Amino acid sequence: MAENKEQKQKDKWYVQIMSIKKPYVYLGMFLVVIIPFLANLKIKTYETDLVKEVYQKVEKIHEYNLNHPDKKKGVLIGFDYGPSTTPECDPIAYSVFRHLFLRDIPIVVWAPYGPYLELADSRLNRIAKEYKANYGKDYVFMGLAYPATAYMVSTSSDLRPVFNTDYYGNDVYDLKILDRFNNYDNFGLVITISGTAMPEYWLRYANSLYNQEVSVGTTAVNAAKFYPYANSGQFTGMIAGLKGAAEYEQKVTRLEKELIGKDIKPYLRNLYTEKNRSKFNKEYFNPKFNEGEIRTAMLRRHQAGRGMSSQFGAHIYVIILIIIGNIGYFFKRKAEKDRTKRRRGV
Amino acid sequence: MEAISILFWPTIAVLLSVAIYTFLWKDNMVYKIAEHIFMGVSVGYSIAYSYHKILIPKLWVPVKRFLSQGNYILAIYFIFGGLIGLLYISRFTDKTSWLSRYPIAITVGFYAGFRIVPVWMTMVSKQLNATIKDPTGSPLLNGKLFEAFFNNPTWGNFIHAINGPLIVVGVLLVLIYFFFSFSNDNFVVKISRKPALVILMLGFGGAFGYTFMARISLFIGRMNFIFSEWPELIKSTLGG
Amino acid sequence: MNFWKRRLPLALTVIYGLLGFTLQIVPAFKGFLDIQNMWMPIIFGFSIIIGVASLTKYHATKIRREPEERLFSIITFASLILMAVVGLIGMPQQAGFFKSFYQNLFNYVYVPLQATIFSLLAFYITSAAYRAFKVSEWISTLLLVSGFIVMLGRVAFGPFMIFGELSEWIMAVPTVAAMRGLMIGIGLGIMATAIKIILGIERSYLGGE
Repeated sequence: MAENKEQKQKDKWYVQIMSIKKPYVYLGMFLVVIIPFLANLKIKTYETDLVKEVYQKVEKIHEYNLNHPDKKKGVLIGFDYGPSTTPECDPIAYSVFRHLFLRDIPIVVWAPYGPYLELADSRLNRIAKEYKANYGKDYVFMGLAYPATAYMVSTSSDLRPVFNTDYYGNDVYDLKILDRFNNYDNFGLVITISGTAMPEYWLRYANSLYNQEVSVGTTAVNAAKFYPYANSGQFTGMIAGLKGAAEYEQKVTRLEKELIGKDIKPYLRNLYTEKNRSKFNKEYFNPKFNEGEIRTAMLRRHQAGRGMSSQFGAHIYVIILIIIGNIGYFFKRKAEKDRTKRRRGV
Repeated sequence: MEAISILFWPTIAVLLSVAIYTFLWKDNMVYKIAEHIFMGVSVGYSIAYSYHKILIPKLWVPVKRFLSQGNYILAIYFIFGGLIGLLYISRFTDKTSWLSRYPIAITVGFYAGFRIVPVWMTMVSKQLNATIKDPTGSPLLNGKLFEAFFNNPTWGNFIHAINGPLIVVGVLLVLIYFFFSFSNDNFVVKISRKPALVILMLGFGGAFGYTFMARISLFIGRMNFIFSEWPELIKSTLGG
Repeated sequence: MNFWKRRLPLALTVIYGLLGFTLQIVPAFKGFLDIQNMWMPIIFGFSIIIGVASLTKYHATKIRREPEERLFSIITFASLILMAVVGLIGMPQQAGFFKSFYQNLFNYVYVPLQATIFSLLAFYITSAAYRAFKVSEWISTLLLVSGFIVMLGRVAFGPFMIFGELSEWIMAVPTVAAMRGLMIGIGLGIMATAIKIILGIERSYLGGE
């Protein structure tokens, strides 16, 4: 008798919609993510103030460099993310590098952990290749900065002695870019692109102790935690998650079209010629673009934007699921209350 | 032949990714194999990385340099550091694992002392400062904004005026809620519980939305690799 | 208290704790701070031994006692040894077989596996949100509604833009207030724990006995 009642409960529609099996939930999630992605749907995202702040700070550095060519400011990038957060942080890194190379702002990069080094090496050189940047003159990758806090503290005076060599084994005193860009006085901004709590360390040691301006590109998980820092001005703006990456991508793509032209493909195709190829050291990148690489470079310019359409699908999907679950829960509680009332009435 | 060598490793990456995703159907042998490969590879990588990126440049190279400069005190101090680190080997047996307390004690102690002032400045002092003044220097409890609203009563002006006081009151409520979380008959504590919960629920709801977005982005990233980058690689390698 | 097992480690904690604090706040000691900051990673470099020790103990036990799980433990050891050997030889090289093998193992085994395992969270959070997010009081409705607004707001476009503005407000005001209150409390807690550690009051990190 009791078993029949339990079975009847399980058959009720409101109990069934509350307990959809996990594989079906997962399958639904897979479909709402993959369909917009394969259909190449692109959603234009609105731009927020925090991302504008980072963009405008970089533009201010560019203006300052134009007006003071002898006293240029560079940007120090903390490549503070690893393989697990590449989907969110790669688009941020690509668009930040793109912006800095477009505006000829000298870049110094370091990474605080081993697994981040290979990522930093490949991402930095990939984008440097698209703008004919010269290693050692326009940008440099210092390599491992472990423990990061020691290097943050040392950069207040000079980061060269603590590194000794860059990632590729070049002596730090032979790299022209480091003659000037080796301490916070000559860095207009530090940008930390991170999937962990590393930006907090930048705030504690670079910002609080040495008043260095720090911007952050971070995963959405940490972004909620960093909002108070962005609100207080400790972070000069924040690029949060895939949406922040999509916004920055949009801005940089607009800038690129303004500076280079609407069609980037011919620009990339003709970037390296027989005449200028020898100027570039093949250790960092191969100064030649084939059609496959050009296609990938174009896809990379909209990586976050393409992801946003899938985000939209996923968000709507989970909201609908939660509402369905709650409708079932509401009716289940109502039925239980009615049963209790009936029992009391009898 | 060249095509196989270009496509081999990315295909392995795709197969391993799909093997992990089979767990979503149910726990199975393919998933377990991929999971155990990951465990082994990550510890193996850490061994190689610790040796080449930490021990050699941070211990061996400086000791050689100090010895060549005649700075024997520093060389001995660094070698002492290496010996302390070696005490971690004692963890292999339960009888001797107490020896590993030495490196742990030194690490915990040093970084505890090292972080007191920066944490105070970053997490407490500057945050309290930002609850009084915003980054432009104007106060959060700003009479001028209320004046502007009364002169021109629009929604925009109202929101601008009310945001500052809401943040100040919100921070105070949350602090009271957490500092006096034991049962308390004080009037201020009792009256502030519900409003504090409202602020916390709105705040955590926002944090949940962001967390959810982050998790989905991770999945989108893998889909980008499996359905975009890998087919593109096949097309460009085989298609020419 | 045993001198070697507890007193000496505790004394070292206090000494190094005071050292860390003093070197931080006295500008004249910057040189010593730099040296100490370079010294600390040596200990971290050896800490991988803890990971290897636990993994070895765990899987060696499994190989001995659970024949049906033996294959997986053997796979773990095999991949550990392969990656360690290839990495130890290949990591410092500029080019060569071991260098490219190490890079391929890293880029096409380690990176995709780590990224994919993390991406499973997308499914778990969906399933957990569906099953656990049940509204019983008006307070939990607030959490849900604010979560919905922010989720819709982050992907808003065209007709959905109102959610965008609302989500910006939610992040700029209540989230800042809540996180700031938490952060101040956590910051004071970290300082209090740090002071307790360097005064020798907090001893849980030393373990038992």
